[in-house]
Amino acid sequence: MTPASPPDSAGSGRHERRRLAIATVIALMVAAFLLLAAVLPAEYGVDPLGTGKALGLLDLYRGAADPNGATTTQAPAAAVPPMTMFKVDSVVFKLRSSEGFEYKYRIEKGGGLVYAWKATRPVKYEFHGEPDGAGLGVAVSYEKSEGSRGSGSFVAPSSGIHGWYWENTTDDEMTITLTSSGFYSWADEFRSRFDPVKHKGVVDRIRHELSEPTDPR
Amino acid sequence: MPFSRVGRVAFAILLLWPHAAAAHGVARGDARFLQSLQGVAIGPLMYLGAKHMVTGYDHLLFLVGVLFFLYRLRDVLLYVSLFTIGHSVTLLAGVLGGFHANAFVVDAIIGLSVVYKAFENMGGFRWLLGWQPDTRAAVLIFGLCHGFGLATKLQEFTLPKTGLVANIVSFNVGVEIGQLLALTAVLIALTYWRTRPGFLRHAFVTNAALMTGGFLLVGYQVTGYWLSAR
Repeated sequence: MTPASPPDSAGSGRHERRRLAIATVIALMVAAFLLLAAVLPAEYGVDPLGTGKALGLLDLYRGAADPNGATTTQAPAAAVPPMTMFKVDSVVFKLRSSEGFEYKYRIEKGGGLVYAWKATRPVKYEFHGEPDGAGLGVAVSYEKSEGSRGSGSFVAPSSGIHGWYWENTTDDEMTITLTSSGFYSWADEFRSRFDPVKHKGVVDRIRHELSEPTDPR
Repeated sequence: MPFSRVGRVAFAILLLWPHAAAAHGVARGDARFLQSLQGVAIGPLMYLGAKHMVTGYDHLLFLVGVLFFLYRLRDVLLYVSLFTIGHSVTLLAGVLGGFHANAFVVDAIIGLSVVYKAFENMGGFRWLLGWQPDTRAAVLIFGLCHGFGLATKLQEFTLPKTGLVANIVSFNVGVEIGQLLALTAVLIALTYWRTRPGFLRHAFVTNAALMTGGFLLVGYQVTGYWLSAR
């Protein structure tokens, strides 16, 4: 007996062989089921049995594309946007008490963004993305916190709209200044307000002018 | 009462398991570090190597399979040395020699190594082939595969040419330290379990479960390969 071999069992050969075959088949079936039901939805976003959706495992897959991952994931060379898309943007917003609004960029997958913003008061914010085809209102949260400033670099994990939601929870008006540069095709401001005529909340979408970076020479 | 003790061990394993299962590959923060690395960084790379081994469930499953029926310390040392020689050779040769293997394929083979070892522990080969393939050779050969797996993880990053050898060797030393830590934990658990009357009774089922894990790893990697090739 080699040192690593198991002790000989006393059972009859036929019985052992059968047990082994059954165990191997069961192992294969259990592995196949776990693969299809849990691993594929959670790891690759592939959901052949619909269990990923039912158990919320697909969120795990989407969540994996968070900004920290995004900054280190090298975008495939083909996905790097053309030079003409490189823009700089600097905006100033006023935010009244208990008002919330969004400012978001259209960025293609692999497109980079370098940004810094500051607010005159502590503000609640969420940096998030809405991937193309993810459905209306489906957002991937990159960073959700409270503070009076934020900065960093970001590589879009998916093509879509990426940007911030700020909410002024103080009693006073505040000003937010955002500066960014990166590969984006447009920037929109989303401000919700109450429409007295329609008697319901509406979202105003305001497109911002973007500028090309100036030639340093 | 034996059950409550077994229960406690099981509970401890459950507590530790999420750590092991948390992430394979190189974690994101670590990845950023590797990307920005310049020159020799012995400490960090040793740490990363150890971390990779301790949190890498595929290596751990294989080690559980290898140690399962090793009762004598001499055998433990022999088999672990064979595994170590195997993976050190391919890790160093892979990164320094620039051999580039597909990570999915390598990881699928590592999954197969778990299946192989579990099947061997179940006495499968003696029934299937009528004889037992050399267990030492198997551990050495699969050690070579695991080393390729370690190499592909590092090759995902462009490591600086300066101090490359020192960095890779540090990573390798870290891998051995991590392996030693993991081995100690596995051995303690197995040794304790062997004193229980249920060990031999449950050995077959446990190895079947191990085999399931191996199959799952293979499926995971093969699908990954297939999806990435599309």
